[in-house]
Parts: sequence; C-alpha cells; structure tokens
Amino acid sequence: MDPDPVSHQAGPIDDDGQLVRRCQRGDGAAFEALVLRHQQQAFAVALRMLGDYTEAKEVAQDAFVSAYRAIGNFRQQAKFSTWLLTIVTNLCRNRRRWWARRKRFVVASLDDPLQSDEGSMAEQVADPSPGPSAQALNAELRQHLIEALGLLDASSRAVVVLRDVEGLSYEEIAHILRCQVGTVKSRLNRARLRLRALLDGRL
Amino acid sequence: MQCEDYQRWLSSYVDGLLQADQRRELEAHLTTCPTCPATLASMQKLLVSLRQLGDVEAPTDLLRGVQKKLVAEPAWENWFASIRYVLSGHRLAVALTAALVVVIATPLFRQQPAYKAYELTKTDKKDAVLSSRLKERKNVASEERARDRDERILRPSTAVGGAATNSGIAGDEYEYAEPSSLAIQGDLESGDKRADQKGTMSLSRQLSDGQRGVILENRRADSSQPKSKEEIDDLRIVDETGEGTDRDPAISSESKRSDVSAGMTWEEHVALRGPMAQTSVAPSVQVEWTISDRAKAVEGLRTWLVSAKGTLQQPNEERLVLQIPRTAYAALLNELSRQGHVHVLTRDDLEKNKSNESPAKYPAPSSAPSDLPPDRLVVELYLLNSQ
Repeated sequence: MDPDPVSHQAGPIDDDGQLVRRCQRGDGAAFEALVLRHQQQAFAVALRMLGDYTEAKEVAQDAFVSAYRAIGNFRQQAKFSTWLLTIVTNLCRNRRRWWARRKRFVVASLDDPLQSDEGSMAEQVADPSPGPSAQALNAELRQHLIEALGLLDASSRAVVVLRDVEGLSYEEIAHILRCQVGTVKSRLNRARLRLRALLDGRL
Repeated sequence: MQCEDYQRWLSSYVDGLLQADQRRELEAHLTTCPTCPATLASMQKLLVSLRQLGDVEAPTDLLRGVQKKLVAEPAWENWFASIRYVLSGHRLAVALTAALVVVIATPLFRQQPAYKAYELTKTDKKDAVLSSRLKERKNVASEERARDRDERILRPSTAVGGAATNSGIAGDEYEYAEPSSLAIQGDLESGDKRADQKGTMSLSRQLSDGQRGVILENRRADSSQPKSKEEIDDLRIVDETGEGTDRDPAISSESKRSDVSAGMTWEEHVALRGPMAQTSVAPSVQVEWTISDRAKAVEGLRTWLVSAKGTLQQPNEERLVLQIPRTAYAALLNELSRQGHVHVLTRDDLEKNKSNESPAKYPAPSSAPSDLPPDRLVVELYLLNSQ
C-alpha cells in the first residue's frame, strides 16, 4: 500500500500526557503550556470551520476554558489534541448554527439578498495573517479555497478541515466526529469531489 | 463501471487506502480514460493547497483571553448559554424535556474548582482550626451558613468517555449535589456509630473509586481522623481560602447583599459570582514566592502590575506588598507561578511561623489599610530563593 501522502502529523508529542496529569493536579502552568502547544491547531481548525477570525478566536478560547474545567474527567484514552479538537468542533457546530440563525434574522431585517446560511459564510471571510510559508499558496487561490470550503455543509467541512487541512488520521476524525471510519471515508470522498468541482479550472 | 464510479475511489486512492484489487482496477482505468486522470491530478493539487490553509498563526493574545475567561466567567454562564442554545433550536420538545430533567435533577448552579492553579496547603487539622474559628466569630448566622455549606458536597457527575458532550460543553463539570446532609443525618439518627465516630464517612462514600471529586469538607467532624492521601488531595482542591467566603465582608459586599436578599443561598451566590467569589479571601493574603532570579522576576511582576492596575511597594528585599483588584487575584497567582513556585500561606502557616521558629521566617502580615476599597486586595509576597 502506498504511504499515506496526506498525513502531516508532526509525530507524537510525548509529554502532553504529563502536562495533562500535572494540570489535573492543579498546576496552572502546565495548563498554560498545553494552551501554548495546541492553540495553533485549535485556532486553525476553528477558523477554517467558521470562516471568521473573531469567532474562531472566541471558540478556541472557549474550548480551552471547557477543557480546563473538564480536565479532571479526561482519562487520556485519546490524545489530548484529539480530545481538544472534539471540543473545538462541537463548539464550532453550536456556534455556527446559532450564528446562522442570528445572521438570518439580520438578513431578513436588512433585506439583504444573501443566499443560504452556507453561502453567506463565504462572504464573511476575511482571511487573517497567513503564516510564513503560506506565501506559497497564491492569494487568489487561497481565497477561492476558503470560499469553496464555506459552501460545503458543516459535516463535510469538518472532515476536510480535520483531514486535509490538519492532516489527522481517519480514526482520529471518526473519534472526534463520533462516527464510523467508513462514514469519514465517504464524507471525505464526497467533499473532495465537490471542492474539486467548485474550484474547477482554478487549481 | 462508469467514470463516476471510479471517481468515488479517487479519494481513498490518494490516501493510499484502496484495496489492492480496486487499486489495480482503478489504475487500469486511468490509463485508458480521457477524463479521470485530470480529475485525479486536480484532486491532488487540491489537497496540497488545502494543507496550506492550516498555516495560520494563532492570535498572540489567545492565552490571555483564556485566562481572563477562566477568572471572569462563571461556569453557569456556559451552561446557561448551552441551554439557551438548545431551547432555541429545532428539537424543542426533546430539548425541553431534557432541560427539565436537568433542572429538576440538579440545582441550577454548578460549580467547578476555581482556577486551582496554585498549591494549597495540606492540613489535617483544618477541621479543628475551623471549628474554633467559627466559635470565635460567634456569628450564628455565618455559622449556620457554614454548616449548610459543609453539608453539601461537590460531586463529579458521571463522565462519559471524558469527552465533550453534544451540547458543546466539554466533559462534565462539577455540580452541586446535596445528598450528604441527608446521608449524615440519616446515619447519625439511625445510630450508626461508625458514622458518628468518623464523621466524614458518609461524605467520602459519595466518591466511588477512581473518581476525582471535590468535597467541601465536613467540618462537623471533630475527630481528626487521618484521611487518605487521595482524600486530602480532593480536599485541597477546594481553595482553602474558600473558607473565607463568609468571613469576608469585603468581597463585593454589594453583590453579596443583593444576591442574598434576592433569596439566593450563599452557595448560589458563590456559583453566580464565579470562581473568584469562591477563592475570595480576607483583605490581605500572604504568599511565599520561591524564585531563582529575583531581579528578573520582580521586573516581570512590575510589568504585569501595570496591565492589572495594581500597585507595588517594597518595604525590604524579602518582601513585596501589592495592591491589586480582587478580580486579578487568580491572574496574579498565575503570573507568579510562571516565574517560580507559589505557596499561599494559610493562617496555620503564619501561626506556626510565629510560634515555632526564631527568628520568624517572615514578618507578621501587615493588616490591610482601613481605607482599602472593597474591590481591592493586598497581597504580601515573601521572596525566597529557590536554591
């Protein structure tokens, strides 16, 4: 079998477990170390799920707050990052729905012809500071990609973000989204084909 | 098979997850098909591009925001927000039922250990100290309140896999439950001598093996039965300064009065006002701060104080006197623990210091100035070298 070309995991971070245990004993510094370690990924996932910088920051922070409050119940059966991303995606899901409803209300009152909830997402996007190596992806394609992501339904987007943006394994994604590996596979397949179709000619 | 059918395999193919026979079949198709190779190529490009979307930097103030939220946002707000969210959703009927069950089953307010970042002192004698202090105070009302609270326990609700629930609140937080008063009384009245002697027994029974829980200690227990280490650890989670909640008129006495006059119990007030009310302390706190590089640590602290609207005096080399907003207490401890080891001194410590050691390890705490505003807090730092 071919090597997995889209697994980008930077190898296991071995002392997360130790930090978690220290945090469970009430060590605030350990918790902060965990935040610093995982904030990039948590934020990136939230940003790509929600398409909005401020919302994403809010969700990432809320996720850490929730994680802190629940860390006593975290048994480390999964990696900390997986557990954290579960919280992030759940918060995103709630936030997005809630936000979509508010949006619809605003849309109605302003009589502004935005299309669907999904469609309106793309219009929100103002992409924040890309990291150093992001220059490789030209700005136009980047914008198209973000818009196309916004057109996917939330569960497809979640799969694409976790797999193709963050490079998680199918098993981790199944764990995070609480579904079967087979479901991840089929959703991913559909989402990728749809994205490809949306970006036809621009890739 | 049609091209469409083959395209369904492409995703697994690029991830290398296609079974060998399917892979061979697809590859054979790719050599003959005029369109599928292009689809494959663009999908591969798509994946390369998508990967780069992950390359964003987290906001630089993300951690600071987390700290602020932890200090400022009581847990019930999250909880309430999620209920509000569910109620406004489509599954109204289901949600209503669920919410009702929750509301009936648990008191409205839940609570988790306050930002428990900092070491709290182990003491087995706390019971004795506390009960004598209670007597000293001769304040029947507060004694009653204290007893009320004593009889509650904080108990972890059952954790499901330790992961986030569908409502988006991570795991399960701690919640109030008050079966213990019944349990204790039941035990005592039914003449259960073991319970009578041990006092804490019926409380500790609430925690099954392997569960972490928080017990607001049972101060009725006069015996200083040695507790298991686990239990002491659990006790320590309740900020031992939390005992000060009812001897502390200074903390937002306004809000306290209005909450209580609004018919709220003290516990509800604490739950409502968040962790800071729980960790609320007397007007002055004494903290041992063990650091390696004193100059650097103090400099860092000065910087932090500017942003926290705090002031600093340094009567001598070994001692700093800070005045900070009460709301910044947890953040301060946090900041201190970044530089070194932090130990919040208990009254026990101070008494030991006075009686046992000569010369005393640190000077007697200065009393807070009488004009100290109720929302300010005096923190005395005793600087120790980490070597």
